Amino acid sequence: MDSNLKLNLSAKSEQIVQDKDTAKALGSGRAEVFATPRMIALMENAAYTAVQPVLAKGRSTVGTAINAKHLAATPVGIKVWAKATLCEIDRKKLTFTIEAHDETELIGTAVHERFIIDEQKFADKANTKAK
Amino acid sequence: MEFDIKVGMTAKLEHTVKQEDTANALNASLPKVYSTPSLTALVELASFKIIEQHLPKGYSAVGTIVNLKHLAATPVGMKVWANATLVDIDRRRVSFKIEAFDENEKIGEAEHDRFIIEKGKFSKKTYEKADA
Repeated sequence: MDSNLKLNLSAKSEQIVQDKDTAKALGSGRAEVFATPRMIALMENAAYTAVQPVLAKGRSTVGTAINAKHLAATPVGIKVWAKATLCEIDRKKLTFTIEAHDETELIGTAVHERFIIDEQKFADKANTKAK
Repeated sequence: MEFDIKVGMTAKLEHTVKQEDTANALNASLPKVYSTPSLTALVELASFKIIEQHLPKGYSAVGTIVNLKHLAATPVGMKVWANATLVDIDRRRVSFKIEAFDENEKIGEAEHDRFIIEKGKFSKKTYEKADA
């Protein structure tokens, strides 16, 4: 199962920074620049995309830890991208290194962990909490 | 510039998980549980809430580091909250520790740094990038 997982699998996710992606829009500050939670979402998406195509049907991954530095501010209208590389596999725990850039410079670095889940089991367990 | 903030100050921020806060809203292949980026936003907002009212006009604070563990999954409809504590001040760098919970259990813990900025200078510098 998931035998196609191997080190150095990588993927890139990109977007243009929009008003809804700013710290001001999220309320996490008053600055009209790309918000840290949005940078983390972009980083997670790159990591997810790096491994999802090689996982068995019915499996997915969920984020369990992120250690991110947000190094530079990016204004609305500029393109940003994150590149994630799988750097460690420990049974179901996958560790990625991620770099994020805008059109001018490196804007963030992160180490991120994801866990491989069985989608159905995970959903069933999470939903029992709501009852 | 002196800021009227002290180590030990705390704030709590609550939120009820909606579909738009789930990993599924970010990517349709992901499960319908509270996403790590949403938890990151809650943690940042709880931290900012401690200092926001104490910043002089024209000042704000931007996130520079987040080190977050997301420990448990939370379904839509459930209440989540973050308790943030200011743990260190080094000139304009302010550090926080945060714990997050849902109605059943602890769902996350984090360390977070924010940097106090002058909005005018910060915007000018940032938007020079867009004109480059």
